[in-house]
Amino acid sequence: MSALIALGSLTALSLRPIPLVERGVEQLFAPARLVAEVAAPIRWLSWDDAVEAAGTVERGRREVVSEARELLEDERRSVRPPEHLIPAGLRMVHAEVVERVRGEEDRLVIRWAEGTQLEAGIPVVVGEHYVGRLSRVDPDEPGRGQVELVTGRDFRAGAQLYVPGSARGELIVGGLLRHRGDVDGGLFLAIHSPGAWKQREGMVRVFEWLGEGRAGAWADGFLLGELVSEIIEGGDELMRVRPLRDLASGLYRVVLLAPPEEGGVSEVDLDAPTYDPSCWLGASVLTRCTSARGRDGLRLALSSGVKVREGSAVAFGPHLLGRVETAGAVTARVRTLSDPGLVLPLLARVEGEEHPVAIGRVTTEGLGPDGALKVRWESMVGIGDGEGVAPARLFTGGGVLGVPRGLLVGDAILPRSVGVHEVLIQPGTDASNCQWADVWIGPGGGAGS
Amino acid sequence: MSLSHIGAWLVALVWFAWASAIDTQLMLGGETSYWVPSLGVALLVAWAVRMEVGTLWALACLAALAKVSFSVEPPVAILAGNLAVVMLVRFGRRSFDLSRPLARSLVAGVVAGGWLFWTWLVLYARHGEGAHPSWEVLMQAATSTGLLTLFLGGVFAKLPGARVLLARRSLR
Repeated sequence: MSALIALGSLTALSLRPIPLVERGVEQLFAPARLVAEVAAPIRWLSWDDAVEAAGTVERGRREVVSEARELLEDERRSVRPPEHLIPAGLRMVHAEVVERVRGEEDRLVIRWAEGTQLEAGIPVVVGEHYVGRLSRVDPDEPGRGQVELVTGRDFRAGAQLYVPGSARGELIVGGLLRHRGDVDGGLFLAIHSPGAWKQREGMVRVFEWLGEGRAGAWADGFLLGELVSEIIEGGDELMRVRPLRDLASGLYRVVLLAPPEEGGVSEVDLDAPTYDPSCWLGASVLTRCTSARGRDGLRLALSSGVKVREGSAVAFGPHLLGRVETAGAVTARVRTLSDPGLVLPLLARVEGEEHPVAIGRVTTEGLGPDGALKVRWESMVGIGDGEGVAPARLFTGGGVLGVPRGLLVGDAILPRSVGVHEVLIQPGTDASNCQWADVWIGPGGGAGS
Repeated sequence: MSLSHIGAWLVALVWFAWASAIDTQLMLGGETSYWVPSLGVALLVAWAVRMEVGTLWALACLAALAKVSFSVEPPVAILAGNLAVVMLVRFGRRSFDLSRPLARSLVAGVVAGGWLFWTWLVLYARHGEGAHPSWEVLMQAATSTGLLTLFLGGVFAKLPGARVLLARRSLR
């Protein structure tokens, strides 16, 4: 009977894990590191391949790092709002999205330059797009705060339907409006109290006509999206706003419009520490963990006393290998990119596009033909004109704690249209025999992006 | 427990580690890997059908420790899987002599297929991803592992260190 109870408990914990118990069991299995060393001779069989792979990565490293830095700089330029939309004297404070908390999809956790003081309520934009307001400044951690997105249930922003050559209609926009006919992942903003105007299309921009106050009005003129009108069952008309940015998973970098500081600068930048060697911890690969059903991972040997957080990126040179699933005292279990179910937001350098494209989340589905990675991609806003396909180089985007922006993932042909796509990514390196890797521990060794 | 028993358990750990390591290397073959037999499963079953019933729990934990080192699956799921295997063997040994070649290969086949299904279930429950294993895939895994156990199960029972642990003092 006790054996049945034990088996039942373990089965339940396997299917519905409790993090504390999971970590405890991981610690119990710490001797697995020694066991892995016992089978080291099998690893030595691929030593030559490992050395060759490391050499190839090292030779291409400078080029990839330079490309990634250029990409991040281009991204910085693309999120900078146009001058004509910024009220005179305001500061632009650049910030990166470090986390999207599960269950709080309408919030972003962001990081900006530590020495910059900000107050809640200021607008948050990406290029000419309005995305929300700074809702909280972390009192304990300088340079950290939360953004409430315009998709939030209780979010309301005054807006105006811009129609060239005619009167402008005023409306209130905020929160999501879903319809059962929507495709998966389709995201529309709700319109509250629309006016009696007859216009059925056009761009909707922020206009705080309700008297939101000084900070709210700083975003006047920024774009909320385009008005979409459709007739649904029963002959009713459904009007809503389609954002032109992927608010669900495609926000990696934002700009906060902050009040001026006496003698201060007009733009506060933020560096990405992706290629700062002090943010990485070297680790040797104990074992490759490939199993039936296409599961794939690594077990890394960690130096004792160094804390590695779950979810942290694992890289082979400038190439992303995977993410830490669980980390014990001396080993860490890593899910590699070819392990099904790994979710990553990506930033793409798309041929023919001037700026990098935040394509949002992809979910890995295992290995495809010729060593390619098979991923599922829900394209929320499409790329460019939305027609055809385009070659792209994919890098890590933001919004995942422990995964820095700008690590190379691989090359792919991306469909430009909106919808759910199956995409094959050709990894930038053959890491199947790598015997060394780097684990992200973040600035100050805290593994926070 | 005598010194020779402790030594035998340590040697057993080495055998299971090597079996898991070889499994991992063979699985790098992608889609064709379903036809690759699981050495770890074959070894576990070949020993479990001969070992004293009271020590089967230790065998399950030992095999789990070895497999954890070479697996991306969570340790708790591997431990649960191994416990289920030894419970199945224990239950089967009440009625049948599972150490016979055909019986042990049948058990190994069931365990190999079941293991595939279990790892999919854990992946799906935790991450909502992973393709459901088809009957064809389950049969491929079961057949190859069953055949391996049929032909090499006897050899596994004679590996250095195994004799001490597999003394058949009790079949029931």
